[in-house]
Amino acid sequence: MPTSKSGDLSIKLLSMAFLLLIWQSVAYYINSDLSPGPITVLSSLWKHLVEDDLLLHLSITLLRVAVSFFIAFIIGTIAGIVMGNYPKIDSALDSLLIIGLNIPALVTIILCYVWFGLNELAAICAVVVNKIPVVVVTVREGARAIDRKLLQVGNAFNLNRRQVFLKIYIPQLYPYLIAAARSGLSLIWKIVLVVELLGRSNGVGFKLGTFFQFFDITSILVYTLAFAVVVLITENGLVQPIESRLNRWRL
Amino acid sequence: MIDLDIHVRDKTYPADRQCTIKDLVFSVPTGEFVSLIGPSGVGKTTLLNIIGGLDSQFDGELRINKNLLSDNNVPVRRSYMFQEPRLMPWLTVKENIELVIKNETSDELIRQLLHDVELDGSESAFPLGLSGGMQRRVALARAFSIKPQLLLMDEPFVSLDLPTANRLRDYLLTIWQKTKPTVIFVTHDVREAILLSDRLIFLSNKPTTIIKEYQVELKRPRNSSAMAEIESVFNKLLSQYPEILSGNAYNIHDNNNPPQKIA
Repeated sequence: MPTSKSGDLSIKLLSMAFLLLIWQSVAYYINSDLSPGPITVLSSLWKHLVEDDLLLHLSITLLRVAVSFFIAFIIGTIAGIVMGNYPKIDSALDSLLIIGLNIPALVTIILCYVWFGLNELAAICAVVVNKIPVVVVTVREGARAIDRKLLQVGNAFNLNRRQVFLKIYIPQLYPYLIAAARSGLSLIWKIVLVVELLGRSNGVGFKLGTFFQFFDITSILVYTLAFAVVVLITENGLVQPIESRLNRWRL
Repeated sequence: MIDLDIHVRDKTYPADRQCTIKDLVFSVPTGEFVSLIGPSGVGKTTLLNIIGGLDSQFDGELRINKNLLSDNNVPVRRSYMFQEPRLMPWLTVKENIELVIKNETSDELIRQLLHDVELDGSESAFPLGLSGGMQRRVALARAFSIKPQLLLMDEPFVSLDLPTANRLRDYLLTIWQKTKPTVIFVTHDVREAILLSDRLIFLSNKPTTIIKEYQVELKRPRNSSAMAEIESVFNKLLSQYPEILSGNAYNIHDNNNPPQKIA
């Protein structure tokens, strides 16, 4: 990248400050409870943090995201590898995959709640079912692009199957696993909130639903802001470092 | 010690009508450097994959010291150098070599091998940061890192410019001279084969079989600067067997004792 890291950061901060400025001026001009400005939202954020239970609901939501992410990621990766390697299994499951990719999240959420009851299992299950197809499609692409010639090196030097799989096969999937993680994560953030709105009595989604009933736009924006901060921290503090660590060999 | 007997009665790919290798028999005693020479696409790589245990779908047998070499009991340390360097791009030079040595602690060995191919200090470089010639040097070091008893080489210096290729050939000769593993070297470059080998085996067009064997009587140690000697062996070979590179088994006759037909 031509720009330096610090130059990059200052541009990011500058654009954010500009955005806040526009937001504040519009809010000032409209002057209504339904369009609070950033100053109102930030002071309300402080209140939610100290006097209310924003952190509790946020952490419950994060836990749901983490659990369903890992379950879906592991199942989706295994299924993707299998489908990428065995054309017969691939064609058997392909229609199911297409349906899974395109079925509205709302449908699976409602069905899970109806069939399993309004409980945590149903909530996690609904998210996982929504996410698995996204992971499968990406990982399957990676499994199809595996370089057989590199696997042959392992065989020629008498590496056992486990070593070939872990040290030559899986590393070739890394870019696809990262892509699956990133797109999967952004999907999960959104679906978890809907799941909470429809059938849970805690979490960010539940709180947003409550605020909506009272037309409490300030609180809604507070939660959105907190949520955005968490997303940015995850991306910059977790996904990107892992990605650049795995990509350090690329020039 | 490993004396190798190779007998491929028939190798036919399922998708092919024609068989690729037919009744091909040869032996390689311990420590011999043999080159298999033939036109492109005659199944040289197929043959090497069979010997290397990468392809078991054939009719025939491989024997080491008269014992059948089956997949499960591999009594021989076998190494392979491919046409392409085939390094793992996500591993450093050192990690690439460690990958095939497996668990032994081998820092000193790796340093020595990289020294032998003049890549001192490149342990932590990634393959994409190296030139094509340097990548092949790493592949050469990797091939010798397991201290092979049998080394299979599939046109490892193909598509390099002449000075680079000659440098690699000299590295190979130097390292090989130290431990003298058995080498089976596939090439279509006769001069390269003469420089490196004790014996040349000329292969026919498909179905591949042996049309001629030729002993190279150049004294060792050799290196690529001996152009004149190599050229004279090459000219002698071609004047004696003008059609030897055609791959046509029925055209080979000895100009020194004409006209003896080989059937």
